[in-house]
Amino acid sequence: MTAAPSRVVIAGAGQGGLQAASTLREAGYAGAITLVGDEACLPYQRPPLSKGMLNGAFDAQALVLEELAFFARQQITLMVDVRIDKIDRAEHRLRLSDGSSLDYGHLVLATGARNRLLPDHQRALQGVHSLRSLDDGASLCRELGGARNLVVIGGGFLGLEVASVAAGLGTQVTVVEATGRVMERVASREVSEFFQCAHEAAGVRFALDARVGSIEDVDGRVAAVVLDSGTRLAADLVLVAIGVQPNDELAQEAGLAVDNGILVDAWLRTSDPAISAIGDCSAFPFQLDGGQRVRLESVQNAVDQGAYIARRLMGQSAPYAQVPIFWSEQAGRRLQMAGVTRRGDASVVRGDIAQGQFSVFRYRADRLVCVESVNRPGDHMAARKLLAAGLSPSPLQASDLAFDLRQYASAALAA
Amino acid sequence: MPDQTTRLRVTIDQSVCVGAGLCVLTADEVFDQRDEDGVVKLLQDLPPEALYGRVQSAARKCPSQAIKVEEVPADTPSRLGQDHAA
Repeated sequence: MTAAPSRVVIAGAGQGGLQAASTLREAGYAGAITLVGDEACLPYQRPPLSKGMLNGAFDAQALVLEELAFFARQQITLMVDVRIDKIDRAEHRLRLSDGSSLDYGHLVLATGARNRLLPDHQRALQGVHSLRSLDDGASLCRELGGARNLVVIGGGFLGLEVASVAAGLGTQVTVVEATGRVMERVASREVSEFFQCAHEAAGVRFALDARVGSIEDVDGRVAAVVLDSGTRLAADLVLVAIGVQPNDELAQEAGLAVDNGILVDAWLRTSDPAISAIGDCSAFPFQLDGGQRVRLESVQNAVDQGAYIARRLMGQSAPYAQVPIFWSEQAGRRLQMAGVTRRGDASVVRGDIAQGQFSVFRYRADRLVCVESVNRPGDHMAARKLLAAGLSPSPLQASDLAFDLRQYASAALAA
Repeated sequence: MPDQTTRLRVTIDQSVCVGAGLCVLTADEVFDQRDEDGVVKLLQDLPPEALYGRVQSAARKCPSQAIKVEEVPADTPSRLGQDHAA
């Protein structure tokens, strides 16, 4: 067991970075902790930005994860509105955008991700939005109330969540998706089709296999989105939600290995053992998938990796092996996912899709890799246990509602 | 922070809980998730002062605002076993 470093600097004050800092203190770490964030505010949670915050159920102040008093009490130095410009690995020193420098014993990169921009088209037009930060959320929120026609570019989780809220507010919404189905990269066909139908029933329209040709404006204000096919969608509000890219440039410039995220080992260490990377910016070997590298964009992943890295710095030696979980709320339904699925995995349905209560068990060869549950939270909880234990019920068992998954998981775990 | 005459009471709204489990990660002495549906359950509603920081943090981290922490008179009896029986 190696001794804990004397000074931990965490680059990124999102949910993962904050978790690393607070778990370090909970685990008894007595050295200096500095949390460096580039936004000019206290750390806050992002999930409600595309959900409750947009329809007024959640106000901005409620998003704050910890007040200033917490940082004083925990003796965590919080630096806000400052970027890290350079990592000097030889000197263990960071150069900051305010001209100062900061020494580290261990550096945790929790730099997150940023939204992808629409190539060519995303000029500074009024009414064209992106959504990741609190400011983005506030500015989208201001315009959403008065919008008549919203075009959402990108049919992923973010786009669909916003589409759902907007439709509920009476806005006519069209979702433009480049592939043949919504959530194509992350969910099974069954889940994609179910949610598309549910959104359509709420009045949302879809343009699938569709690409944006141009965005038209009148006097600098968006007026329409024109598709490659020539279809013109009137729009007084546009949300570009076409995914994210990891903030890995700082690591790359420091000579760390990077490939769609900062490459880390099973202990979340980068190619420099004095530097770790967690959350959206980190590409780690996925223990539940034979060590295949994965980069996940979720609160659970950021928080669990933040807590993990703190315990590892305090001497814990096991590799990182949490079951990824994810949730989304759309069209009045709750989607919960455990595990990670990929294109080509086989689907086994449990429950009744038509009734809106079902789970899709995803298998790779004969192995269960992911369970997507729509309004079946019991399946989700059982799936977390099954995946954590590496258990795969047979497809026949999975599809049989009389087969008790909880009991199966408990019995197999006890055996 | 409450003085000697008050203490903190935790209440949960199981109807809005989305089962994210962040509360359990933050304060597992106070929160757990039901096996059958992942919904939050309270293990204690009048936690000791040593847990106040983490309980308040769990309330803030909840993505569905299902956890409420309020200051109540110190002699307030526990309500567990009544409305929060899980």
